[in-house]
Amino acid sequence: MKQLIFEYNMRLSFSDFVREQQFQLRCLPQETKNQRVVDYQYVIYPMDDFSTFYDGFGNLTLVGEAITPHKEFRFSVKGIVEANNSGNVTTEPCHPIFKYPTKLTEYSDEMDFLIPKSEEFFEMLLELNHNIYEAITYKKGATNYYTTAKEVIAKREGVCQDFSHLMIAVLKHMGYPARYVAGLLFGEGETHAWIEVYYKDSWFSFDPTNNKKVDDNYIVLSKGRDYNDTIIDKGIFYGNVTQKQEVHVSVK
Amino acid sequence: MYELIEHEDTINELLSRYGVKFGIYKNGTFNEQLFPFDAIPRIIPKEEFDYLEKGLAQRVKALNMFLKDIYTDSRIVKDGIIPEDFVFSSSGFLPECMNFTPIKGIYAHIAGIDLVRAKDKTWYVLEDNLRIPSGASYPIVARGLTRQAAPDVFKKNKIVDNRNYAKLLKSTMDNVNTGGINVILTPGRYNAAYFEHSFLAEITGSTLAVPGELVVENSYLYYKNKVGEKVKVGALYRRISDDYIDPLTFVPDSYIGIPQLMSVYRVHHVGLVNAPGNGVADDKGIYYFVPKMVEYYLHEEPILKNAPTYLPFYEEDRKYVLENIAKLVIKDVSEAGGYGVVFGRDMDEEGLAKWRKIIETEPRRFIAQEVIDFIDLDVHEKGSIVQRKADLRAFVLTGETTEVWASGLTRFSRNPNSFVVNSSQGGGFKDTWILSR
Repeated sequence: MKQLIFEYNMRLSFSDFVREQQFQLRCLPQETKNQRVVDYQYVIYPMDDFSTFYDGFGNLTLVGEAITPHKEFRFSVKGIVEANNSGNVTTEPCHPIFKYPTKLTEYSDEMDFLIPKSEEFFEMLLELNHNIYEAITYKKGATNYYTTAKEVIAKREGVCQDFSHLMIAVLKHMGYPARYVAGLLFGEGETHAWIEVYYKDSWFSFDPTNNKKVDDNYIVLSKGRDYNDTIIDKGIFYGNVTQKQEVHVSVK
Repeated sequence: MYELIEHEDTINELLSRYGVKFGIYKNGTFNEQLFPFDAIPRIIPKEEFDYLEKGLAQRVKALNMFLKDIYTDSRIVKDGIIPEDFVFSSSGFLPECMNFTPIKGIYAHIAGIDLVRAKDKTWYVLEDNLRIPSGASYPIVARGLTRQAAPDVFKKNKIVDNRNYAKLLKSTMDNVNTGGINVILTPGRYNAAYFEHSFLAEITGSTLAVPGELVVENSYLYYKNKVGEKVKVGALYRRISDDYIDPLTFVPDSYIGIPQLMSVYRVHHVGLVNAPGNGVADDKGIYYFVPKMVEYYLHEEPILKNAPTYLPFYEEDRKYVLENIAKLVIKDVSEAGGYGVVFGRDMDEEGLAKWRKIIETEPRRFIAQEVIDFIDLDVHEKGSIVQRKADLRAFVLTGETTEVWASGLTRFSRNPNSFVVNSSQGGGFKDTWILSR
């Protein structure tokens, strides 16, 4: 068990005024069996009103509006969670929806070489985690939000989202249900993503980007089938502008 | 009834003047076309309607229970009645609707059930339409015009008045209204069913809104009127498909949706008619299992029959389909509106071989059915009476109770050799008279 103090800051700057912005934020720490939320607070600016709801995957989601014209939108959340990932396992039933590939996690023959040789489940997972880590070069800007696992394997470059989609694609192809986790990782930087795989009534977490099993240095924000289900901040507004997003994360 | 033929031209002319049309996209261009009205009504005797009424209400109740089940506990899947694949790999299953039950547990507030009557007089359900079934307005308008043209006919015959659809629809919306106005949302003037949207708004006293007039604020839905005043919406009968209703949840570049609608809906701040996610229950693959749903949820014998259907997904059925493809009709489960339907008898050896191969490669994608020899109805064509294939879309509305509207849309094929009656395929329609005794 480990206590983590985290901070997530997002700043969206627009080249001109926008109005009637609707936002949907999945960036609150989730209370799970392996993660106790001790305390958190957040600031949204500008914001005319907001509320929360649980989405189809059970993710606590903040929604609201910033109606009056503004050139900047900021969100920050800070808090303390207790991570308890020892054994790296969550006992929780699996919804069948996690068996089927999505467009982002479709399998292709080009991924065949990633399939591990080990027979024992954990060794097999570590091997797959490692194969993906070796096959893909971490490179920012090489891919975008719409990049599919098929495109990643063709390109051999990507970020945590792409590593995770690829691992999910291979796991589902092998017959294991898998899901995507968006969250934060110990240190300074950006948000992170990893995967969970279902086996014998439990979910096991792996981080292919770092070639690691998930430990007490990870904070879960949301879970879903792929990136699309867990988008940390989504928004829509009126205004013909260009926008720049800056994200800063720190976990201690 | 045949005396009505003399009024047919006048009625069709009035229908066109009132704008009773439907639009169709063909090769990328939008054309509005008339939905030709045939003055000879289909007549359903009281006893026959009583039977249909019981069967339809039973079917829709089971379908509603199925939807509630699969978006929460999925008992029917866990109990092995329906294979998981048919539910969760269906494009109609929306994970965004999981772990949630709509107001009063109703999903299919308005169901359009398509039936045909075989030559042996048996009624068969061909399709359940639980998303946004259209067509109720046509028989109401046509009945009104016919009544004006020939009032005597309605004095002589004991026909159940079909004007109560307005009341049924209004109470269906009122039942899930959370306190606010009832609104009908239309994608706009260029939608195939725009006439119907505006007509239904008028007869139910609802506000007709186009995208942009509805906004979410502080977790409630509001209608912004012309002078910018905001009025709270309690129930929204949206005539926009699931994919486009909320760009923050579904298709992100939808310009006709309402951002955040789903978050308002999921906290029960607005009733949505029909519920998003119903597509999983009117999928052609799930159709096969509807009689089983009736048994499973209601512990009753299904009153209405399905057309004999085979699922190539099951090995035994696949074998039968591959051997008998020449006499079967093959339907693509993901298509609607009469598209993706092929008849084995229309194919040569090469075509049959091609289809056998497609079915073997993608068994889950198709269903196969015995071709039902529907009863022909009399249709007036250029001064003579001809026989044409027809179906019946019955409207079943669920508010506090499940009610079957004593009318319906009878569609017929204008092509003597065709069994496809969909309006998008150029068919016409008739009034449907339910006799009161």
